[in-house]
This record gives sequence, C-alpha cells and structure tokens, in this order.
Amino acid sequence: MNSSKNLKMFLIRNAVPIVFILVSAAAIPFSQFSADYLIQEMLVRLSRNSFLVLSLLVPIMAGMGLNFGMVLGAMAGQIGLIFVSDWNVVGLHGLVLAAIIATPLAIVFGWICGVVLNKARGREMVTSYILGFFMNGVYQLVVLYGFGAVVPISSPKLLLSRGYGIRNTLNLDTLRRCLDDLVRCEIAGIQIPLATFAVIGVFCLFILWFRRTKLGQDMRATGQDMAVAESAGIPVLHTRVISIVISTVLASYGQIIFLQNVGTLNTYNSHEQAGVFAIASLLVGGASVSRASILNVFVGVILFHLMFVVSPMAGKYLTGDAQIGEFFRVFVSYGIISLALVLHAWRRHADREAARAHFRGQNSDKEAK
Amino acid sequence: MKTRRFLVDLALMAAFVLLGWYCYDRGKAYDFIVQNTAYAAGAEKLSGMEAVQLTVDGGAPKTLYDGDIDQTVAVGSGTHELRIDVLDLDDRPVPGQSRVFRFRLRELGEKMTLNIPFAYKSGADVK
Repeated sequence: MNSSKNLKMFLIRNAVPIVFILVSAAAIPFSQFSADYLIQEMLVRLSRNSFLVLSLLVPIMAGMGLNFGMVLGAMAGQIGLIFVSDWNVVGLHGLVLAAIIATPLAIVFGWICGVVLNKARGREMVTSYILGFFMNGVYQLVVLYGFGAVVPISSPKLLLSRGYGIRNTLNLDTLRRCLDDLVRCEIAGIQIPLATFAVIGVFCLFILWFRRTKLGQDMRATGQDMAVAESAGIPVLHTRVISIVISTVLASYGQIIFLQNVGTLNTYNSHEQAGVFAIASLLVGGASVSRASILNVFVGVILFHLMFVVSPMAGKYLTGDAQIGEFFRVFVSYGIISLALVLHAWRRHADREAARAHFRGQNSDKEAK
Repeated sequence: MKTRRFLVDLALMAAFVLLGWYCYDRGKAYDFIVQNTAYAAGAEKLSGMEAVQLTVDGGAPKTLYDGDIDQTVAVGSGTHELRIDVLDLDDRPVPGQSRVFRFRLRELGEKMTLNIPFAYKSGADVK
C-alpha cells in the first residue's frame, strides 16, 4: 500500500519530465535522426543554455519563484557584446570584456527588479514578467535611439545607415565559439565543448557552495517562510534583492555564453526568448516554482531541446509538414509550462486549505476540552 | 567593519577595471596595411618581392604578389610576429628563405602600413 502511494507520489511529482520523455521517445524513431546527430545536438544545446537556466536557481531558493526578470540580465549581456563588437575586441578577451561591461549594468537592473519585486510580494513572477516587457521598451529606446547619438558607437558595421541606432542583426564572427573551441575535444566524431562545460561545472559548484554560506542559508530561510525569517533577524527584503541581483548578473553571463555559441546577435529579439526558454527548460526538468535543483536544470535542458530538435522532423515524416511538428512542440512545451504553474498554484491552495482545516481542528479540539 | 567592507568593494572594483583593461589591451584587433611595393628610405632602395606568403601571429596566411597592397589584422598591443615565406612559381614556400619580422603596431606610423620588402630585409631567418 505504502509503495503504491510512493509510486503515485513519484509520478505526480515527476509528471512533466515523464511526459516529455515519453513524447520524445515516441518521436525520435519518426524523426529518423541518427544517435550521433542527436548526441551532438544535445551537447551543443546543453553547453549553450545550461548557464542561463542555472541562473534561475538562486531566486527560487529565496522563494521568489521563476525569475522572468532574467531578460534584464540578458539585455545587459547584449549591451556588453555590442560594445565589444564596436571596439573590435576579439576572442576570449572580448568575451570576458563583454561580461565585465555587463556586470555593473546587470547589478543595476537586478537591483531595480529586486526592489520592484519586494513591492509586489506574492506576485513576483507576473511582476517580473511585466517588468521584462517594460525594460524591453527601455532597452529598445536606448539601443535604437541612444546608441550612436548619446552613447558613442563608431563602427559603421554596427550603426544603422542614418548614423545612430544599432542594426537589427550583428555578426559576432570574431567571438563565435571562442569559449566552446578553447579546449577542443572530439570523441567518436562528437565534438565536446570542454571549456564551456568547465565554466558550467564551476557555476554548479558555486551554487552548491553558496547554499552553505550564511547568505545562502538566509535565502533558504526567506524562501521557506518570510515571517519566520524576519523574526529570526534575517534582513528578508535585502536578501531577496541580492538573490535577484545574483540571478540577473549570472543571466547576463549566460546570455553571453549563449550568443558566442550562436554567433549572431539579434539586437532587439535575442533576449526576449531567453527567459521563457530557460524557465520552460527548468520546469520540463521537473522543477517547480518553489523547488529546483541542478539535476532539474540538466534534465530539463536535454528534454526541452530534444523536443525542439526532434518534433519538426517527426512531424514532417508523419504528416508531410514540418510545421505541424513545430506547432505540436510549441503546444506541448508551453502547455507543460502552464500545467506546471497551475499545478503549483493548486498545490499551494490545497496546502493552505489543509493548514486552515488543521488550525480549525485544533481550535475546535480546544473548545471541546 | 564598514571600512573593511568598503576596502573589499574597492579592491573588487579595481580588479574588475584592471581585468577589463587587460582584456581590451590584449583582445583589441587592429587593421593594418601590408604592401609588397618598392621601398626607399635615404640611400636604401628595395624592390617589391615576386610572391610572398604572410602570416601574422600564426593566423591565416595571405599571399601577396609584387605591387599588391592588402589589409590584415593583428590582435593586441604587444609585439607581433610576421612570418614571410618566399613562394616559388607554384606558390609553395621555398625552404630556407622564410623570415620572421617582429614589430609593434605603434612603429607602423599613423597610416599603419608595413612594407614587406623592408620587413623581409629586417627580419630574422626562421630556424
């Protein structure tokens, strides 16, 4: 009886990754992709996206849910890359310089985001989502009208023909794969971006270490119960702001790593999808709004992107139209996100009801006595 | 405690700025012109070379024939190494005729131009 209950709980808790594994397993044979191709694709996408997804763990630890405001960090990373492209700083030095430029910007953006989210306690996710839209407008205003006019940008390769504003697409050829190809490793014809994985590994170690620090413990306490943390002397609001700042800074690095792999910067669009894709990956990996681990990140990135790669081709071979597979992927992927968020809200509601019932039960017992 | 924290913050910021400067200095790519044309400075006169292959800091090689002028890139502000391989009729490097010329970008003048016959004459034989 107990084991069947455990199995049921396991299935409920891991419903999302299980659905993804089943759908992907069914779609792989139809897609007709070779194992080598899929492994290579997964390794590339794992190295490209993991850092961005990992940046979401800190705010979850602090009980702030999924940080849709990570697009602010992505914007900071992109601004760093624009400057580096203008100054013609190439290779790994350019990448590090872009990160250095992005850091203070991301700190400021993260601080603004954290302060706003503190004003909207309990509704952090929707607030950060809308804040992302707002800051997107500011970003577009600055990059489209400020760069070249107020902010000095001299390269004609970057500027629009009117003399100010950054072009829609920037070629990052001088930075392309400079981290991925830093340490070349090839096993059985499959290229492994060792340096990028090393950076991701260091980040994972940082998160493990950070959880054990005073600040990490404060964040966990804040995430579990703000009132209790407050009464224990933890500066709750400050801790929450710090968690968002850390997440935003790491997201800016994540976006730089992402774009060096892609090799092209869509000035006005690249950051928009960063948050949604990262959050979708994390949820697909079995994380929830209040609980996420490093394992969730890697499982999620693999499953989400496996679906990305496989479903258009599976759709093409099954129905003759790749677009149907793509529609299916979009439907399943974002349906899963909605389901995960609804499940979380439902669980929270159920927990609250149970706690209330428990409280009433205790009170009625006291009255009876 | 506050002073210590301030000092730590200041040290971190300084480290960040220094690292940024180092990356800029080492990673900035400079375009400069290489010309395989006649060179004259005072009594010294050198004619253009028939065909040479140029490699800057071990990068992608570039072939220049007599009279050619082209643009190439050097990364970083330090000393750069230009390898000049003399080519035969089949555009293959002639053994024993390669030379390496070391230069700094600021030595190339305002127009950032490097004359290949001069560089070949001033360079050292490849060991």
